[in-house]
Amino acid sequence: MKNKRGFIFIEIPMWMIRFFFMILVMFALLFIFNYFIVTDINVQKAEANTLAGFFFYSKEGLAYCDNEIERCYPGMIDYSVKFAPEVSHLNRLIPGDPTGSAAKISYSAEPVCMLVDGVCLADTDCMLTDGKCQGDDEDHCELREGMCTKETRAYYKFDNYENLNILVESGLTTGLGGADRADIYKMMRIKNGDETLSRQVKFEVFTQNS
Amino acid sequence: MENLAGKRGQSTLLYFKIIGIVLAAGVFILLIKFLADTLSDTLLEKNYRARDIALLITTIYAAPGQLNYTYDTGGNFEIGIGDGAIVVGDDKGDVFYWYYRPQDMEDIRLEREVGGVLTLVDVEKDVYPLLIFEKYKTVDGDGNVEEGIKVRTP
Repeated sequence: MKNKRGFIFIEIPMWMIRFFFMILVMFALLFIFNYFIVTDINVQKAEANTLAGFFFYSKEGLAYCDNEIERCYPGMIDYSVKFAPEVSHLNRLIPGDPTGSAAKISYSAEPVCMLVDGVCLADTDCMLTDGKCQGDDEDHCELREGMCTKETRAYYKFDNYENLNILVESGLTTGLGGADRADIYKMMRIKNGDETLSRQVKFEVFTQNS
Repeated sequence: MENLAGKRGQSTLLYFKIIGIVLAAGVFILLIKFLADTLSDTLLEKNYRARDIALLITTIYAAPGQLNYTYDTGGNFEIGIGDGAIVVGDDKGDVFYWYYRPQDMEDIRLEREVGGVLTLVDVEKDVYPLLIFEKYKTVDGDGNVEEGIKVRTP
């Protein structure tokens, strides 16, 4: 660089490039530092397990309790008093965040219609029609492993369930505004009056990201 | 603008180099400050405490019968409990997290034992090293049952 023209056409553009790269490096460093800095802990899975434990085993949840001797039976669900849809016992649990969580608890009743050579062998609420397991809406009929089954289900915070389920089904499972779902399976005994069934109970917990 | 090949031009170039070094030093100092602030930040610990206590309270509500649970808060944080949320704060700000309680149980309260008397205190101002959770169930003369959790400090 020998003169004013050299300064204008070489030195100034060089400095602009240097500034540009300096800013680029600065932002790259900030990004790298921020990437490795952890300030939040995701406890949604632990929260889901805590809620599942609450509903499965607590007196305040679904556990069958003998009021005379004030004893609860872990692993046994009281269907008629606590689980049946009309009871809505699940909603007795109040979350601090009224919109932040929901749950669906379900289990399959006896296989009511077994598919053999395309023919349904039982005459029940759930019927196999055109290869589909169908019944009234409230019967929750479902085809599982070749068997047409009737699912029994109950909801905790049904309104939240509908909203959060849409988020999860849409794939919005990360970041603020999204929601996460945890599926928990337990072998439980279902007590309905004098009748007791052993079933695998599915507990779907939805929690909003925070 | 002067001729940069001359003596004055050389000093102009020197000024530019000095400005560049000062800018680079400034950026370096800012990055070091950013790292130092991050290292001294308590956000992670506050988030951890708030979530840990919230899950603990949900579990205590679920537990059958009466129980006592002593919890080490592990730091000089202000801890507030009530209205369905745990608030953990310090001079850099507050963090909260929700807990669950059964409908017919009393909401949790933070109390301090002074001279054998449990007194409700302003939880926003006090700092506690320990929290003692006590699940209780009382039945009055008319048969009314009251259940809930009390939290107090030693």
